[in-house]
Order: sequence, then structure tokens, then C-alpha cells
Amino acid sequence: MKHRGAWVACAIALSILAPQTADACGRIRRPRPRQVDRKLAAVKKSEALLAKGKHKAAAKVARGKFRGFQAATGEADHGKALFNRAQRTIALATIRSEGAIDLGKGMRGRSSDSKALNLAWATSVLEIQAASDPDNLVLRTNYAEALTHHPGGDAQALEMLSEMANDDLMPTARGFVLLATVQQSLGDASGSDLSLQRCKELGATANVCRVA
Amino acid sequence: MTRRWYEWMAAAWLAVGVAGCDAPEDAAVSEELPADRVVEPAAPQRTLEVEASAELTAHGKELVSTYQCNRCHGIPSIAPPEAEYDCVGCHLQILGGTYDATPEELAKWQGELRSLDDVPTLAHTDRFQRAWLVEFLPDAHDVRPALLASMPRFDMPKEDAEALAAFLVPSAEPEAPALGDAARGRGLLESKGCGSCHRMSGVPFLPARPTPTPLEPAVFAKGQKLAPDLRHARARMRPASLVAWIVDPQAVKPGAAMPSMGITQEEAADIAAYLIETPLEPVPVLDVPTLPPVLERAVTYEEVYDRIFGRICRHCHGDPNEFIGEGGPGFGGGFGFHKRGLDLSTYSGLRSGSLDDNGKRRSVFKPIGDKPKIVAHLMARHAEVAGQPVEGVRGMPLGLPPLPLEDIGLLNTWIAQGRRGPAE
Repeated sequence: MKHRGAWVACAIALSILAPQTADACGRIRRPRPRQVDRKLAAVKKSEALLAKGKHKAAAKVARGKFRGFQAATGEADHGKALFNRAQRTIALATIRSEGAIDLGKGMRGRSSDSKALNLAWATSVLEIQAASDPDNLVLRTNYAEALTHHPGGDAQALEMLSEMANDDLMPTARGFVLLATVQQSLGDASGSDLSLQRCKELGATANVCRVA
Repeated sequence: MTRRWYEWMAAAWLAVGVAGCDAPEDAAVSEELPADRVVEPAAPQRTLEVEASAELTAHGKELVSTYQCNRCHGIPSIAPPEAEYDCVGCHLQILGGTYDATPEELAKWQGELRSLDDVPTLAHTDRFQRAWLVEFLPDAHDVRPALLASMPRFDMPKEDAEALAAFLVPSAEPEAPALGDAARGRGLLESKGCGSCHRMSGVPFLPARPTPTPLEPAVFAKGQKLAPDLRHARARMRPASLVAWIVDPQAVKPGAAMPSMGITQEEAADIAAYLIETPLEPVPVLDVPTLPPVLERAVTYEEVYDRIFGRICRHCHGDPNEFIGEGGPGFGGGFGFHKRGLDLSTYSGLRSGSLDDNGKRRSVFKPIGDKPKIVAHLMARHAEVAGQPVEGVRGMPLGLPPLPLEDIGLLNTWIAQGRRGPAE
């Protein structure tokens, strides 16, 4: 695999960066109803920026509130829900900017190696989150998106996305765009057109429903 | 009980003729019944319930966690739920203005909140008949007409119901005092103003007369909200407890909504006789409404979310990744139901469907009969309330009144129009 070295480096980086205590890990304590976590606003803002294609800004907002975001522990603990959302937003921003996001020391996303390392980190985050909640189809779609940025990942992404589309369970319009993109890259032009049509049927604009 | 049921009925109707002479004319319809009317006879003789086994009682206590009874009810020997599982506690905080939200949010929620703000505590439940609970828990029906929320329709095997009933009613049933005169009982129900809070379906109208002792407005309001339909008293209450309750409810269950009304033991025996022995008109069979036709105008996801998903559904079908809380029983499982993973708080969650009994995701738009699955569940709630539950389709919203047909029609129209999502 082209990025094998980056994957190994990422794994080492994670093992070093992973904090030893829950609090240091950026874990959000399970909020009580009267203790609304104000970090929610930051996460929402970050997600909105991501949706608008402002990847760097999205990552910056989320990073500012979740210092320990680099640790990919993947615990299926819903007390970590906000942390996971923030981390996921940063990971998606990283994927969508081909790794060119500043993720902190050693992961500035400027050189090709650094971009590859960032992509590997983001992919592992999305893979861990999808694996920790296998019933969540949005997380599955996010992981499929990450796979399409890796050589050889298209086939696996196609399998995941096709299953959701065939079962009328594709959670987002972007999922159909991803499917169309993968189908086109694998030579299935008519399948790609159909996926884009289904994207539009979900109410997404033609600007969204197109293969880049 | 030596009299036959029709003798009691004649006595009761005679009493109505005397004591109920100033009842509203339009309310006395049930007195003019066809001659061939089938009535439910007086409660049959029954043997006293023996003490429940310690083993069954202990198992019942364990099942309280499975069915999450404490999510709505206060139960003396069971710890209250964690805050995010505490449906009633959350609602009370909102109503009291202590929930941490913006003033605008609080004002909006306070205006919309209609249910689960006042739920009976499961204290001193030895007054109930264990046998009634065994029947009621797996097949709950509305007992308190003025309370919007009712018991959810659980998926509960009879063995679990028996264990829960043993936990709630562990004691042996005491011998009941001799019942009094049902005709006098009917007169007392009217003169004591019982009808100002209670209704009793299946008998001539119980007029809402003032109580002999004026009640504080707050007490009165709470009583009106929680008062059960008295037709169920014969099956719900142990006769001895029924008499004791009528004499002094506060002695049976301190803090109960019903105040002590200054009723003597003899009067209580008369009232109990009427409640237990008077024949009841059958519960009327109601028509199940039909789904309105698809609208011609365009319906947006935002409109459907505001009217249905965001207002009602997301309380039980949320995603803990999106909202504070644990996602609700319709997402992560609860009330004895296994995990469904259905998130109705977002469009992507809605499109992701729900887990079937085998753990496989299925679209909520897949047809059941001639309706999309999600619409079929909402219509099934109307059928449940009409006393005609649909086999294999649980009515939603669980334990709440059915959604207005107009709203269900709106959802059905949105689906028929292609169920387009919010603009991206």
C-alpha cells in the first residue's frame, strides 16, 4: 500500500499522544440536564462550516475546544458524544482537504508526508468510530468517504455504499455523491448517473449532486 | 353476595331515579338503553389472593429495571433514575423554569409540554389486585381519562407480568368487610361530589357536584387530573382496600391525590358495593379513523419535523451523539424493548431506518400494507385507542395520545412527494 509508512507512523503517534487519564483525553463528562455543555455550540459551528466546505475553519473551531482530539480511543461511550462529534468533524475536514489541515505538532499538513499522515489519522478515527457504533449509517458513510481517498479503498467503499442504497437506507445526499464518484471511477457510468439522480431526489441541489 | 346482578342493576337504577333526578338531561343518555343491551355483570365472587413468594417478588424487583418503571413512576424501594432517564423530572424542571436552557426555549417548551408532569407513584400498591396487574401490564389501557399519558403497551410476557405484580403486591389479601347497599352507594357518590373528579363509564352519568368539604384549587386540579375511571375499581382494587381507601385515602397512601372526604365506614361499604356490584355497560367499540388523502400542496421536511419529529418523536427516538440524554427507549432500547437505533431527530437518522428483530436495518418507509411503515405505526395508535390494536404493529407515540390525523396526513404527503430532505 502506498501509504503503509504513514499508517505505521500514525499508529505510533497515537500511542504517544493518547493521554493517560480520561479528563486529559478531552473526554466530556456525562452532562446533567442542568449542565448544558457550552462546547456544543462550537461543535455545531464547526459542523456548519464543514457543510459549507470551509474545511480549515471547521477544523480550527473544533480544535479550539477539544485539545485532546488527536487521541482515537474509539470508546462506545455516549458521554464522549460531543468529543466524538468534534473529532469526526476534524477528521472529515482533513479527508476533504486531502490532509492539508494543521492538526498540531508533527501533523501540520504541509508536506506530502504530513498530508499522508493526516489522512491516515483521519481515516483511522473514522474507522474506529464506525466500528464502535456499527449500526450508525452516517458513521459508516463517513468511513466510506475516507476509504475513497486511499488507493484500493474504492471497492470497499462501493460495497458499503451500495448496500445502503439498495436497502433505501442511504442516510445523506453526500452518500449518493460518494457512491456516484466511486461508480464512475470503477467505470459504472449508468450506475453513477442513477446515484446522482437519487441524490437530487433527496432534495439536494445540483451543485451538491455532482461528481467532482 | 346473594343478589343476582339484575337485582343490583334494578336497585342502582332505582337509586338513580331518586338521587340523580337533577342530573343534566343530556348526560343521562345511558339510562335509555335498548332492552336487548348486553351488560357486564357484577364482579364475580373471587378467592382472596395469597402472599406472593419471596423468589417471585425479588424477580419482579429486578424486572423494574428491565421495564424502566422508575423512568416515569416514583417507587419507594427503587432508586430514582439517572437524570437523563428521568422523563418526569426533566419535564418538572422545564415547567419550574429550572432547566438550564435559554428563556426562549423554556417558554416554548412550557407552552408545548402536556404530559408526564404528574404520574402516580407506585407506593402502597398492596391495595391493588395482583390478578388485575397481571392482565393490565402486558395489555395496558387508559385508566385515568384526564391524564394524557397512559401506560405504554409493553412487549411483556405473562411470566414477567406475574413477577412485577408480585413485587408491587406481595402481601396476602385481607378479608373484605361486608359490602353495603349499592343503591345508597350510588346516592353517596353523587352527594359527596365524587363526580367532580371521577367519571364512571358504563353507568348512568355521575354528576359533578361540589364536594361537601371545599378543596384547595391545587388539590382539586391534581385530583381531576389523576382520578381513575371508577369502572375499573372492581378489577383494580382489593375490596378491603377499596373500602379503606374511600374512608381515608391518605391513611392508605399518604400524599395521594384524593383527599379524605369525611366518609364513614358504613358509607364506604355502600359506595364500594355500588362500584363492585353495579352492572356496567360494555366499553363502546369506536371506529378507527382512516388516513386523510395526500395533500396537493407541497410539504417540506422542516414542516414535518416541526409538527411531528421535533415535537414528539425525538424524545424517545434521538441520537445521544446529537442531543443531551441517552437517545431514548426507541433508540438504545428501554421499557423492555430491545435496541431499535431509530433516530428521528435528524433527516439522516430518519433515512437510516431502524433495526428489526434480527438486528438488521430496515427503511421506515418500507410499506406495511398500503402505508409506509412509519405512518402505519402512527395510525396503529389510533386503532389502539379505539380498542382495536393492530397485530404486529405497535402504536406510536407509545403511551401518548395519537397524533392528529392532520399531522399524520402531512407526514404521509411528504413521503408520497419523495420525502425530500432539508436543502444541502
